Parts: sequence; C-alpha cells; structure tokens
Amino acid sequence: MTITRPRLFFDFAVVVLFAVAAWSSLDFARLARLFPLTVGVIGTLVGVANLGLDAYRRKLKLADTSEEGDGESIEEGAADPGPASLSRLGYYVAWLLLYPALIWVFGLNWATVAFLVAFLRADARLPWRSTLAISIAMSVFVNAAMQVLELQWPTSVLSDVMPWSTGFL
Amino acid sequence: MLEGGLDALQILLDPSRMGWLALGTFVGLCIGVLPGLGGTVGMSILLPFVYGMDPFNGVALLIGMAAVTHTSDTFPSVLLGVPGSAGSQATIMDGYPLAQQGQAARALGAAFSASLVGGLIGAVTLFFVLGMARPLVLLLGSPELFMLALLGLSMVGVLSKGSALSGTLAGFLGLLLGSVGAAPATPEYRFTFGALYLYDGIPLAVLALGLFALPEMIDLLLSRSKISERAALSGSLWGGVREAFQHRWLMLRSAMMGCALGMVPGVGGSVVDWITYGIAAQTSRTDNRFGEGDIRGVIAPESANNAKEGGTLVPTLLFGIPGSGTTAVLLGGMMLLGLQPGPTMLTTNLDITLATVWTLSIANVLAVIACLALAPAVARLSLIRGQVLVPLLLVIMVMAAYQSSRGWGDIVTFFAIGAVGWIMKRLDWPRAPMLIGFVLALPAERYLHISISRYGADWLMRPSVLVIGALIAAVMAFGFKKGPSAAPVQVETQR
Repeated sequence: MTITRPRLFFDFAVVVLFAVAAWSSLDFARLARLFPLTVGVIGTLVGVANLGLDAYRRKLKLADTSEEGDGESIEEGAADPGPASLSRLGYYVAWLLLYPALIWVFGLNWATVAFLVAFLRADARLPWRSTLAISIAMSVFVNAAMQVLELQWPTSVLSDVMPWSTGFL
Repeated sequence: MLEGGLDALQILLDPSRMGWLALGTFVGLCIGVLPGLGGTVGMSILLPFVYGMDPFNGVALLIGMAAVTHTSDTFPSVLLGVPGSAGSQATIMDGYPLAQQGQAARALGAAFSASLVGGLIGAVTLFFVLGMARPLVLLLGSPELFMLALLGLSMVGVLSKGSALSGTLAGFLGLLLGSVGAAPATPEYRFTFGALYLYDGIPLAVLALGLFALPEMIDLLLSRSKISERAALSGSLWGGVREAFQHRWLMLRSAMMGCALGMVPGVGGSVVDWITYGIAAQTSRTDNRFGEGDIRGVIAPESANNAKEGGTLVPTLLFGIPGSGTTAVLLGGMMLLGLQPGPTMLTTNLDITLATVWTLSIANVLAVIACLALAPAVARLSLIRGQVLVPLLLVIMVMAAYQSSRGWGDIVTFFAIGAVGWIMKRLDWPRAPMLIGFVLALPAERYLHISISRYGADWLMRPSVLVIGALIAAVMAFGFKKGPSAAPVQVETQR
C-alpha cells in the first residue's frame, strides 16, 4: 500500500467530513442527534489516528528512500498517475458524462443511439455495421425496458423545443 | 423445518418464480463471464428492478444471480488468465496452464462440476445451520442485534484490503451516509441541505452502482487490455467432469471449508479461493503439479467459492450482518421487498428463508447445465473488449440508477458517488465496508433507539452485550496489530 500525497489529502478530507457532520448534528433534535453525533465523533477520532499513521508511514518511507539514494519515488504506482494517465482519465470521464448530457438535451432514445455510435466508432473503432447493429439493438432493449418498468424520463430540451418529437423521444 | 422446506419448494416451483430464478441465473452467468465485474455489480444492477416485486420472485432473482457468478467466472480465468471475479483468482494458477496445454475444456468441465457440488453443499449447510441456529437467534434482543451489527462492521473493516483504520473509517462513512434523510425515531431530516431528493436518503442501488460499478467501468476503459482473440475449447469437457468426481473428497473438503469461511463476515471470495488452493496444494500426496496444470488446483477453489455463498447467507439472513458487498446489496434488496433480516427470517418469514436455500440449489444446477451446454458460446462473451462492453453497461447502469427515485438526482448522485468510489479505489481505501455500513445504518440506529428506550443504559451491562463488545475489541486489536494488508486478505468487493 503506497502512502501518497493524494491519499493523505483524502484522509484529511474524511476527518473534516466527520467533524463537520458531528458539529452539524448538534442542531438536530435529541433523538435524531444521537446516532450521527456518535458516528461523527468516533469517525473524527479514528480519522485523525488514520491520518497520523499514514503521515508517519510516509515519513518513514521517505526517510528509507533517501537513505537508499535510489531516487525511487514514493509517488509511483496507480495512486499517483502521471500526466498521460490523467489526460486519458479526463478523456474517458468526458465520454461517460457525455451520455447524461445527451439525455438531457435529446432524450433517452436519441441519446443512447448517438452515444453508442459515437463511442463505438471513435474509441472502440468498430466497423459501421457492428456499431449500428449494437446501437439499434440497445435502443430496442432500452425501449422495451422502459415499457416493462413503466419508466418515464423527464422531458428533454429538444422535446420542449420540438414537441412533435416526443413520440419517439 | 423439513416440512417447511417442502412447502417452500412447492412455492418456488411456480412457473413465474422459476422464470425469475432463470433470469437471475442468466444475469449471474453473464456477469461472471465478463472480467472486471462481479456479484456486487450484478446485484446493484438488479436491485432497482425488485421494487414492488413479490418477495419470492425478488429473492429468486437476486439469489439466482448471486449463486452462479462463481460458476461462470471460470471462463475468463481458464481461457484468458484474467479473473472473472475475486473468487476465481486461484483458479488461474492451474486453469490457465491447462488451457495453454490444450485442455481448456477439461479444466472447465472439472470446474463446473466442482462448482455444482460446492454450491449444493453450501445450500445444504445453510439449511442445517438455520435449523440449529433458530433457538439461539430467537434469544437475541435489540441490544444484541445492535452489537452484532457493530461486530460485523468491525470485522469487515479490519479484514479489508489496506489498513484496519481505513477499513473501519470506510464503515463509519457508510453509517454516516446511511443517516442522510429522515431520522427513524423522530420527524427530522438530517444532512439534506434543503435538497428534496435527499429527504428519502440516498438510494442503495445508486450508492452500490456508483461505488462499485462505475469505478470498474473507468478502469476497464483505462486498461485497454489486449485480450487474446483465441478462446479455443480444446480437450474433453466430460473428461473434466469425470475427473472432478474422481477427486470427490477434495471437492467435499474444499466445499466445507468454503462454507465455514463464508460464515465469517469480511472473509471474501479471494481469501476462500487462496486458502483452499493452498491447502489442496500442501496436502496433495501424489504427483504434485500445482501451478503447472494440476486439475486439483481447479477443483478445490471452484468448489469452495460456490459453497461460500451458502455460508455468507448465514450471518446475512440470521443477524442482518452482510459479510461482503454482494450480501450487503442483497440485504438492501430484501428490505426493499419488505423483509427484515434477523429473527423474523426464522419465524414469520421462514418460508422465504427456505425458498432461498432452494434457490441456491436450483440456480447452481441450472448454471452448470447452461455452462456445460453452451460452453463455446459463453466463452466468446469473455472476449468482449472493455471499449465495447463499457458503453453498453453504462446505458444499463444509468437506467438502473434512474429506476431508484426516477429523477435526475439519481443520475447526478450516481456519477458523484462513482467519482468518490474511483478515488477510494485508487487510494487503496476499501469500499465494501462503506456499503455495509450504509446498509446497516438504519437497522443499527433502530436497534440502538429501541435498546435505550426499553432498557435505558442497562442494556450496556447485559452479559451478551459485554461478550460481543469484547469480541469487537479483540477484532479491532487484531486488525491494528496486523497493519496494512499486503497479503490477499481482502473483503470481497465488486469482483
């Protein structure tokens, strides 16, 4: 387990979260306060211990590393990705967020087809035939699932502007 | 109990219920075959769809799924050397070499047979343990149930991957998230920040999907692993089946171990796998070729990881203490179906409990039949690239998340929790204790309030409470002494 700066930051954020939760719970009624206050207080204490321990382990590791003089960075590993990894992460996160954005603008059906076609062509590099087959099949599945589950999606921006399209969207 | 068992079987054999069981089995097979997923992801996807279901149908669907992921997860382990789930890691040691020697079908045949026997033994053990535990469970009151919830959480936290402290903290984070929304004992809304969406709390399905499924999707995309295009099923499938039964004592032994280990909250599939593999390797007397394609190295872990499912249901059903992410979501699903895990599962809901046992058995049989019959077709599923798989799963997951409250809040919460889940995964923070804490938050708070209102402060002095408290202290002391876990002692997460 690598103790990196991001991990220490996360440890600290958890301590703050518990402390704020404990403080906020003082405003609740007595019966509503007991559980979150207890969890918040214990969480804060354990969180401080965890943060201290991680900081101590990191300090020891840094000291070992500087003694060995091998220049090995404690920051290596999946916990501290380099710039290339971060940009690829951002690339895929953008793709994943594109789907709900498309739903908001175009509605579920159009968004599903558009997203799948775009992703399968641009990133997965599937041939057009496979891409269209998968996208249409998925759209059919989505429609069927919506019928069975009686799912009604909120209206989209496009259906507000062009109400005639709501039959499909 | 026997008479109740037969009645439960009769209820389950209704065609519509068998249909749901078959559907759950099918989903479980698909989930197991696809590397990178696992029981928790499958359970999270199915969870939103059990709203309003008949309890027998819902249990058949959920248990049917959970029972068989460890059967089909053998495909990628043997054919590709990639674990289908955490419970099939050890299978790779000998399964993949066998495939490389042109004996993939033999390995799969042996694995499926071992999975079947293990699954059935797990179900039978569950049945007998339920009968024996019934008098004990009925003695438990709200103070004991509260303490057992804390014990389960502490065990899961301590046995988690990473440090015991971060595991415990993750559990407490789950407890905190579980207190969002309406307080159980008084008309007050907590931590809602004025958002109407949070008045009913965070939906379990959204949390589970975001915490486990979305980070896996992201990592699948980032890995862009090249997967072999070959999935040759050379060798004899039925030869493998015959060999499994030639090693029947190994199957039985491993299944009993898997079942026993499964009853301990926090002991995940990967632990059971490796322990039984290690014991099989060390106790083999003849022609030890473990690690080079010894069929026993496939039989032992596969038998154990299916039997484990029966074992994990013991604390889940009897005490409401989930031992893994999968059973945590299952517990949430049972609550959605109007079932309260705990003593009522052996009294008013005994028929559903016994139906669960039958579902485990029947699902394992169906899964093995399907795997044996459709092995070549199913094998191709494990060749699907992440870049093709992830967008399809994203569509399903967004629909599943939306099904919870049917509002944009579900989608936003899903992605927000997904971001936190991915960060936790990257920073070696365990996630299963968080999910378990979330599921236990409401019942734990209810038990606490009942204990205080009924017994005042005297409930803390009850002998059973003191004993469980001492156990909690011992578990925590062991955990802190163990230090950060580098060994494969980890709670089953999404895999």
